[in-house]
Amino acid sequence: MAGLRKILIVEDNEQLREIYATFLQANDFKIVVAIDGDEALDVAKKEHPDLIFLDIMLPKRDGFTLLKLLRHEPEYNCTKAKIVMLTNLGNWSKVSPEVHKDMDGYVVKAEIVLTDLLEIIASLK
Amino acid sequence: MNIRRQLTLLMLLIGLLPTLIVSTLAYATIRNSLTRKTADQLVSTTIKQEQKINGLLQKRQEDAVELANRFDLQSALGRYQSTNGKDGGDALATVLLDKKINSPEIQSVTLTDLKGTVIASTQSNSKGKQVSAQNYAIPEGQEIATTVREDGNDGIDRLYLTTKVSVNKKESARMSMVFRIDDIVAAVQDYTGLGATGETVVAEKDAQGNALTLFPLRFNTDAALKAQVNSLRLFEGNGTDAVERTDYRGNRVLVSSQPVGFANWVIATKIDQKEALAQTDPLRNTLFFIVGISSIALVVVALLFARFFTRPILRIARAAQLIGRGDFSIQTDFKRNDEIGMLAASINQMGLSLHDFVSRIEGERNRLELILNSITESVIAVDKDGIILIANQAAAELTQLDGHAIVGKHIAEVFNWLQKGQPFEVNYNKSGVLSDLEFTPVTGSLHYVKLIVSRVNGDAADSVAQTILTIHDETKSRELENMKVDFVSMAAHELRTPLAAVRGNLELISFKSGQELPAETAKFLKRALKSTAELGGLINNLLDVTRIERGTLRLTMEKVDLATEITHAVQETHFSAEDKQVTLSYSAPVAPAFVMADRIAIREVINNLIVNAIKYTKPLGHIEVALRHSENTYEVSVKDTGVGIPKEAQQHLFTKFYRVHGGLSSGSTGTGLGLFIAKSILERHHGAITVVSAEGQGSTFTFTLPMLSEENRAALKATEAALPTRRKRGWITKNTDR
Repeated sequence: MAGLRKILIVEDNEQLREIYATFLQANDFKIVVAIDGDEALDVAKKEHPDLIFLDIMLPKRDGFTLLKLLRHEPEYNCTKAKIVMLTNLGNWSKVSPEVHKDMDGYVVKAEIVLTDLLEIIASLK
Repeated sequence: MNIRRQLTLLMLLIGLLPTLIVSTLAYATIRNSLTRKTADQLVSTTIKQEQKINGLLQKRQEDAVELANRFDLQSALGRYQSTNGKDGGDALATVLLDKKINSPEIQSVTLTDLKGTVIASTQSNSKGKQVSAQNYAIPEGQEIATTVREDGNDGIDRLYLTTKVSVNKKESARMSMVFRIDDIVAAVQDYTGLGATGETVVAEKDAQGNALTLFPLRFNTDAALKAQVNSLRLFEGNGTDAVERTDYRGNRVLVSSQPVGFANWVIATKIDQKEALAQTDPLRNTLFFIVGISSIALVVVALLFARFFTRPILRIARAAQLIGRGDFSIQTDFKRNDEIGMLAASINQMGLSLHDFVSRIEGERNRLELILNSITESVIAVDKDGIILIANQAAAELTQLDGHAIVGKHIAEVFNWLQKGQPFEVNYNKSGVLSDLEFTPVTGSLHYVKLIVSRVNGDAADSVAQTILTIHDETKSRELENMKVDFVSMAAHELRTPLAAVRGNLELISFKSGQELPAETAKFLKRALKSTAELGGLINNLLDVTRIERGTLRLTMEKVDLATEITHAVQETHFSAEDKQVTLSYSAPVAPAFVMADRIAIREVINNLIVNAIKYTKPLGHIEVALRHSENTYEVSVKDTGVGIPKEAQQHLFTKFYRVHGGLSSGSTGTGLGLFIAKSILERHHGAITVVSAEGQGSTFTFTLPMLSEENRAALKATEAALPTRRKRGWITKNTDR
């Protein structure tokens, strides 16, 4: 856990964004946030976070596009970062193999409790 | 030929034939007897004629013989011959002349020697002359030659008699006497009793054996025609009977012939048959008249009779014909008390019955058609060869074919069944229900149908419906179902974000200020969290159902220890059991129970069964969870001492949205989805779930899962070789070096 101190939360729903940020800050993580796709790229480039919680349904650029850019474009300084997708979709079988390869996990927002976030972070080396 | 003509002909035949036969026989008999009578008369006439001619000839021959035997002639001839003609010549001439003078019918008398040289004659200047052979020759074996010849001097026929003259019993000369034949001709031409056409003919045989007429004929004296008397075949007659011949004039005649004793002659009498039978003509005419009149009378009677009998029959036949063509309005309207009347009445009755019968059948058919067409399902009747016999309106609409176009076609021509896009062969000879069939009509889109094949019982004959197909078009309901599923799925998804927010906020409150909160607030907060958890579970259940419905429920199979999962579930639910004062027991086996399963899904199944058991068990009840195994399956049972499930509810228990109604469900919460999801999940694992329950005594839910097999193990090895992942309900991560 020592390696994953700075976390970027990309989430357009204000309440959820604040809930996750508040909870994780309370657990001694450094949190930066973005509310849409463009801002996410800017923040990532500037802050180069260790872990990104990336929502899929976002204004301007969707999560899958962001995943591809962040993972493969060095200019955003995030190719090595862990990226966990945030979603409410239940069916991941239709998602392309590239997405599966690029991401480090996914979270169904409605199905977790906040403490699960800590477990998720812990499960990522 | 219709019956009337046949009857008419038959009656004519019966009526006329006897008349004709009797008339003909009578006529023939009369004719024969008349012929007989004529023939007899002819024979007697002939005999009389023959005797008359014979008498005449006999007298002349006696004259000649008498002269030849006279002494004075013989003595004069003796002298003449002994003196070599010097003496006796005058005496001979005197004797001959004397004879001629005494007998006026004698034309001349000539005496010749045996060589034909005239010794003496009544004709002057003929002495010493040689006469022709016929004037002195006598045929061998005869004493006297009798001929009728034409005289060379005047061309008149005369009778020549040549006799032998003997001197001292030695034949010495020949004497030839020539007679006129007027009296013989008169006798021959005496036609008394022979009518207008009768004739008498005297003939002799010539050198060729043909008959040659000696005397003139009555109707024709021409020499050439006289020779043709041959055609009467006079020498063939037997002399006692008359025969029919055709004479030289071509008339049919009756002929009677007799040989004439004193010459080689034949005498024949003949009469035209026409004349002989003339008496029968009035009779014949009368008979013709009678036959003619009776024929006309018979024809009239036969026609009337036939008409009387056949008219009703023809009318009945006509009526029957019309009935046969389907015109039942016809009625035979005559009244008769005989069998024909009965027949007519029967035909009328039959027509009425048939009309009644046909209208009843038509009514039935119309009603059947009405019923069939009012059915929303397609109904099709098929015969044993698969030919469509009946198709209702719905079938026509489903197939997009004209109702008449379907009938008569083979079922395979009309329907090409698919199931999940693959061609599907339907066995029309086996009753059954085939769900989820797909069918695309000629024009239009794919239809989802349920096909019900019903075999018609009994020994159905040819061209009789053998199979009834009922096609229930489920396309609309399926579309509706899909829309429902889509709606539920969308609604559930939409609920998730606010739910996550509510829960997150509640969690933040409880984490941040748990210790600062008053006890009551903390209790409310806990309740709110519990409710959000329940709401989350409900939404998850709904989503699971939509996934099951769409066939998109994704399972991640891995090696799972059932014993461990049960332990986890028991631990998780332990508190709620305690809260309700229900004992929950589970004795885990020592050995692990490995199955191939989706860990999260199986854990939910077990959880669900235990939670349900707690829910329906009253305080102080018991719940016993057990894990057993048979040869190659594990069996997990959850037994409670709860309220139990009514028998009629048990079969619906595993269907969607089903909840037991009545008192049993009171106080309980639930979506009615849990058991449906459990059953679906277990079926995906090749497992099964059953329930045994008695109302008031409790229920036992039991599910089975196949043991991890060798082939599963091999598949697992490959999966385990892949990147290790962490997976829990709601999230999944994998470990990669970035």
